[in-house]
Amino acid sequence: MGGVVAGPRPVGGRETRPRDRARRPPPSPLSIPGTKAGERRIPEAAGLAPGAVFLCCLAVFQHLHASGAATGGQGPDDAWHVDYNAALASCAFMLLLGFADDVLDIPWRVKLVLPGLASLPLVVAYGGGTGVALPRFLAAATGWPGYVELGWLYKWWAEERGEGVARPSNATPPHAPTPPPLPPPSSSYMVALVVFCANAINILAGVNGLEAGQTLVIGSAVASFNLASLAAAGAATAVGRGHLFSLFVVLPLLAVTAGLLWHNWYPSDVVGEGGGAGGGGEEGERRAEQEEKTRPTHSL
Amino acid sequence: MAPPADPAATRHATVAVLAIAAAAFALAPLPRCDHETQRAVAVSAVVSLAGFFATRALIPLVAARTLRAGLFGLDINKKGQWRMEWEGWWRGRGR
Repeated sequence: MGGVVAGPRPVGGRETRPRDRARRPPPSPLSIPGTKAGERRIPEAAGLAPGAVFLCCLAVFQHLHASGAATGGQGPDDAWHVDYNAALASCAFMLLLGFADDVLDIPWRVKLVLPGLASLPLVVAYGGGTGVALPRFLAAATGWPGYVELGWLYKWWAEERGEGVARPSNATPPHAPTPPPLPPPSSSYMVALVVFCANAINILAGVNGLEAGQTLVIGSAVASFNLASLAAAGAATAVGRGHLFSLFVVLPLLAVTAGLLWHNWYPSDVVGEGGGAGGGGEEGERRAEQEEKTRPTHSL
Repeated sequence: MAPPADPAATRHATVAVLAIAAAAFALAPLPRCDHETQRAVAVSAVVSLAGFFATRALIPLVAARTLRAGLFGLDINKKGQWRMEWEGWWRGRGR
């Protein structure tokens, strides 16, 4: 009643003058009405197709490689199959979670941690180190080693138990703190890496072709880096085998991403949401496999 | 006057050029690798190429079924509108 007596608060006057109206900030893009073309329904969860094809490609290539057809000689050892199957399981888990995201309308807080669950098969099978391979010019300019091991940040517990990764002498910081007794947190870094990579891709969902296009660009750069490193180190070395492993995962990813982009480029026919989340998981996995290349280095 | 280009054809040509460029960039260092690596990468590339065509063919089938199941969204389709609004605001600023 009081409101009725008082009446609406006068908000006109100055704001309605043309000069002040022009000074107002431009309208948000979300408040602009769409066009007629935007009224058609766009099917979602089309990422199921590239995700399933990606898994099939990995499985077919695993068979070819195991039979020796890919290399023309002997197939890989059992450790290679363990790592490869872990990558396969992680991708399948991520694809399932991406589809569940489409169907169940999962809150964003849950979406943040879901890739961590999907990374579990990879984390369980992962036994390598964590480090950064510096570019040559940076290593030459700074005098740092070409490979900087970061495992000492979280593997104190393992070293205390005598089962940790050996620190390269040139990578050990001069004033490293005395390691406190900590619970085993080594897997947490890998989980955090996968969560970061998956969300770095998935956060761009919603713009036609942006998610798949980003995966295409990053994937081609990773594949090129792998091949350049292979050419420099040779496929028989431990580093070369790691790069080859990464390449076998990245090439099918590039192909199915191009297939998705075929339909997802503006104006998009489909929403590759499931594929976007799956692509993110695969991206995280690829990054993890990039680190996998350093695993045999520690055993040398 | 030339007829307007088919949007789908233009889109597919763009993606084809992008995919070929990405593949060329990815495989550029391949000639410097040894024979065994080249063979393994070639086998993986053939499997991947089959995956590309399979994905391209499967997506419309999956899309039709997800649409039938009620899994769809609306493309707000505002390409270019933001710029037009901004320019209109900018032109009217000094009045």
